Amino acid sequence: MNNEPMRIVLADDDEGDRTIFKDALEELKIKTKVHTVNDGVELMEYLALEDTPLPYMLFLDLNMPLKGGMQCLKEIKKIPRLREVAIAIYSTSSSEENITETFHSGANVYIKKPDDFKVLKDVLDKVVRAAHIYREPPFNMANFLFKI
Amino acid sequence: MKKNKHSLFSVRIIYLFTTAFLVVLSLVTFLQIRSLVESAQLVDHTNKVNQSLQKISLILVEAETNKRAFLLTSDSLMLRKRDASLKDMGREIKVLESLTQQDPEQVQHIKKLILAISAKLLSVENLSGFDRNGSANPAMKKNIMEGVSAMNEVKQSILQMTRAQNELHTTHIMNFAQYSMITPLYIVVLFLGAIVILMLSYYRINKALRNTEQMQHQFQSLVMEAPAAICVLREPEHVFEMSNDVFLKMAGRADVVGKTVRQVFPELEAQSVFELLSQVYKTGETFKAEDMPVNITRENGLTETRYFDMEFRASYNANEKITGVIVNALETTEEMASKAKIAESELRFRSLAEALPQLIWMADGNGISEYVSSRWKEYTGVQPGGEQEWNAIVHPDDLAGVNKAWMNSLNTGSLYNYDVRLKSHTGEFNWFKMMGEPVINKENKIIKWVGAASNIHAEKSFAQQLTEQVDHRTRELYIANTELQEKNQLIALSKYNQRFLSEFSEKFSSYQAHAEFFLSVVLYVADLTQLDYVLIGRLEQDDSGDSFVQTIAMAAFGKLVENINYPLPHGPCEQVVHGKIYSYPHQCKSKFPKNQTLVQYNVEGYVGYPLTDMAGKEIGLIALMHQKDIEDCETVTSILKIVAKRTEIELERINNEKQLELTNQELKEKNKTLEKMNRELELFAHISSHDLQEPLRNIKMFASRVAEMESDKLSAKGKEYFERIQSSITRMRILIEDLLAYSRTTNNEGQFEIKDLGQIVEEVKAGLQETLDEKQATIEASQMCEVRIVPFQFRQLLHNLLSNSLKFSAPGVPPHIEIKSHIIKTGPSNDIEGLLSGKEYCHITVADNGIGFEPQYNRRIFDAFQRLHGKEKYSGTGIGLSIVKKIIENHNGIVTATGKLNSGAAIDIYIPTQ
Repeated sequence: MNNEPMRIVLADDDEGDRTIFKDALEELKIKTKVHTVNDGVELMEYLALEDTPLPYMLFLDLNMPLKGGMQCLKEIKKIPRLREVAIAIYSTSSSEENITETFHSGANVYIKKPDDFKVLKDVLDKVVRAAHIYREPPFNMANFLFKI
Repeated sequence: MKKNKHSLFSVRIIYLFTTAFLVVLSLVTFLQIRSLVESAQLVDHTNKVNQSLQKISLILVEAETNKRAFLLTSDSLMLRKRDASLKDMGREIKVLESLTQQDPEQVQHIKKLILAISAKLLSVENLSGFDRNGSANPAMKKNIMEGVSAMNEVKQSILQMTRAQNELHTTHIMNFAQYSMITPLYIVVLFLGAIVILMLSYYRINKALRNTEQMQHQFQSLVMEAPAAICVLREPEHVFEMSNDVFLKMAGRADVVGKTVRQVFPELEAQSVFELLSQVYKTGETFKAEDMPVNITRENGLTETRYFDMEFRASYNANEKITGVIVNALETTEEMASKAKIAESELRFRSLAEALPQLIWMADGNGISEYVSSRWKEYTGVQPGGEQEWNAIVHPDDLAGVNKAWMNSLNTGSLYNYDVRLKSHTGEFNWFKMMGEPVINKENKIIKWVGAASNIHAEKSFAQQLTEQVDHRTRELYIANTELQEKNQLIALSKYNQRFLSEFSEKFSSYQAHAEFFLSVVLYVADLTQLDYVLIGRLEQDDSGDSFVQTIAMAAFGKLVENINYPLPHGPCEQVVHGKIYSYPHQCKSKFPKNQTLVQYNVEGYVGYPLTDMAGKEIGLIALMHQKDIEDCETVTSILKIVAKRTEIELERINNEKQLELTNQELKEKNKTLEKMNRELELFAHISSHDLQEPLRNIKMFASRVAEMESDKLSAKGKEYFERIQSSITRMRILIEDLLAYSRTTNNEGQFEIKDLGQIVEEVKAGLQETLDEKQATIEASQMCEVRIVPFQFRQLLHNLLSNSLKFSAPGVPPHIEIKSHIIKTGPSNDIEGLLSGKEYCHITVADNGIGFEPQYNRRIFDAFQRLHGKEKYSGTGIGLSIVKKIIENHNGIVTATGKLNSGAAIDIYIPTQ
């Protein structure tokens, strides 16, 4: 890993989740720089900005007001510039429909939000480290759903 | 004993033989020794003879020498010496004679010797000596010559004798040598033999002694350690020789050995004990008694009666003579007391049984009759004893049944209950309810059966009566029916009938709908009866509540006309409708002056018949009206009756159809509403669960963060509180998840697919792998069939069931779950509650070896939020099984649970295969 901090973008409407996410990343050994947005609309606007650097990884919550994660995912995948960005779905839900649809829509990994801080750190550590693996869209669903 | 005698005898024989042998041997030895001694003596003798002979020769020589010496010296000393010698000689010869007097040969020799010696001596005597001039005179020469020859003679004889003696001597010596060799041998043998016998006898005696000692010892210990009270008495004084501790304890005495029975138990004096002991001693016959009462005085002075199983046995010594008595006593006082108690309670029971009016009976554990109350004899006239009497008093039709029921109760221990007819002493049969209950002892074994037979004849006969009445009624009805039929047949004679019978059923047997039907009916009837007006009308009520008739079909003068309605009151129809008079064949109009309709239609003759629905309520009528009198009213009425019936059915059917339509409509609407509600609920549940989960997760996350980050600033209590917060949150989360899962299952729109059950099982197993490994659980799936299911729902179902089995496993026992499935078809022989008959179902069982549950909860566990354990013991929301039930209901199946506390639970699922 380079010394350059990795840019992580999180789209989540829940403030608590955002705070926790940031704290968890901060405590990891790997250096990251986090930018959070509140909903899908904000996310797309942020990504559309000229001076927004290309994120290393994007964490998408599905249930967001105005524009949900699913919609964002589909839109992002249409933007050529952002096609390389690894997208992790970061959601409370684990319904089959969501998993299937996000898989088919091109998300790289599906993470169910853990409720333990340590677990969250662990997950983020692994996912971020292995993001380059996740850059390639998964070829089967078994690898899609992230399991510790 | 015999063996001993035998061996004793053989021992004696052996000893006899050996002793005889020894005696013989000693005799022989003695003889040998004597011979030895004799031969020694002989040798000695021979020596003596030789010696004697030598001596004689010497004496002779000495004599001669002495004579010569005398002659030479003329010393009278010499002469005296010569005399002495001669004396010696004489003595010696005597000795010789005595020595050899046995041997005749020697005797001869001695004679010769004596002659020779005499001759010699003579010659010696004749020795005169020398002349002074020293020349030998011829007499002297001759003397000397004679002397010499005599000496030679003597020498000869002596020599002979010596020779003979020598011969003897040699033989004697040889014999002696022989004897001296053999005799020690004999002695040694004798000695050894004696030693051997001594050793044997020592050994034998030792063994015998030790045996006796051992047996004595054994006997003693037998007596001392026996559980029964034993003592050995020496007769005839009844002295205690030995008594074991049990005896002493039982008798309440300290020490008895050496004392007589009289001394120890003076109180036995008048109780025949001594006499019995003496009897045994005298006759040797064993005395035995059970529960013999004996009054014994304890050391504290109290006399009490105690009971013993007593045995006096004669004891024999080695000579088979009776020397004493062995007393063997077992105390049965306690048993007697309890026997008495039992007898007492039996008596109480019996008196109670006798007081009751029921026929009481009591049997032992195997069903053999022990007691019957006197009511039996009172009622039946016989005293019931065994099978014969029983068979005689039971009604033959009931005998098989009651015996089977009794056998069943005996074998299974279940309550005995059977109604049976028993013959009374008057010969009539009355119904009795036979009841019986087992009596179980502490080891759960049946020791008695107690029961009663109650006279239920009145009740039974009432029931019988009722049945009879029903039968009677039915028969009456049947008779009425047949009468009716006969009447119908009579109608065949009437002019209407042929046509009617053949055509009506033909025409109207095929189903005709609604109005068409009624119209054709009225036409038909009009045609048949040629009456002016024919109508079928329905009874209805208008808004003000007045009844009127609305016709649904009407024919006038043989043609269909428009339907009318007319008020009911004051008309013949009213009568008809109320089931009263049906026909007014004449002057109908005048009979009902108020009725406008009759006036309007100018009705003279009227026949009507009411139409009723299934419940018997009047719904309408068929009416025939004629402007003239109606003839053959009866026939017409009967026709109407039949037509009415058919019409009723039709009306009913129409009604039902309408109802059905309405109900269907209602149902559809309700369904729609339900579906809508369901969708809303689901959405609500989905959203709310999600929305609830989020803040919950936040709480958990932040609470744990605080607890972690500030843990050094928190007190122990504080930490505990945080933990409680965490656990509550976890519980809530699980609850919400379960609620969500629950709500999801209401979604009926799951896609049904045919799947292999085994595959689903494998998938669910994979999901539970961690828990399976942790608990070392095994899941065995066998005979997996293909099922038509909604896969994700079924996975949820299996997941829930397996999780349950894993969660509720017995502590310390690795969970083992068996999943089986097979296809069954329900039918009359295979009827399962809740399933449609005649359909094919897949029956799946999931059985585990966990803690199970009490059977009374087997339905409750499927209710939502129903838990059988506190949340501290087993976590869970109680939704798992209700989800399972919902899923199964979705699949149009049923689920049941069977369980027993601590022996596992089994869930049975039935899903239709189509």
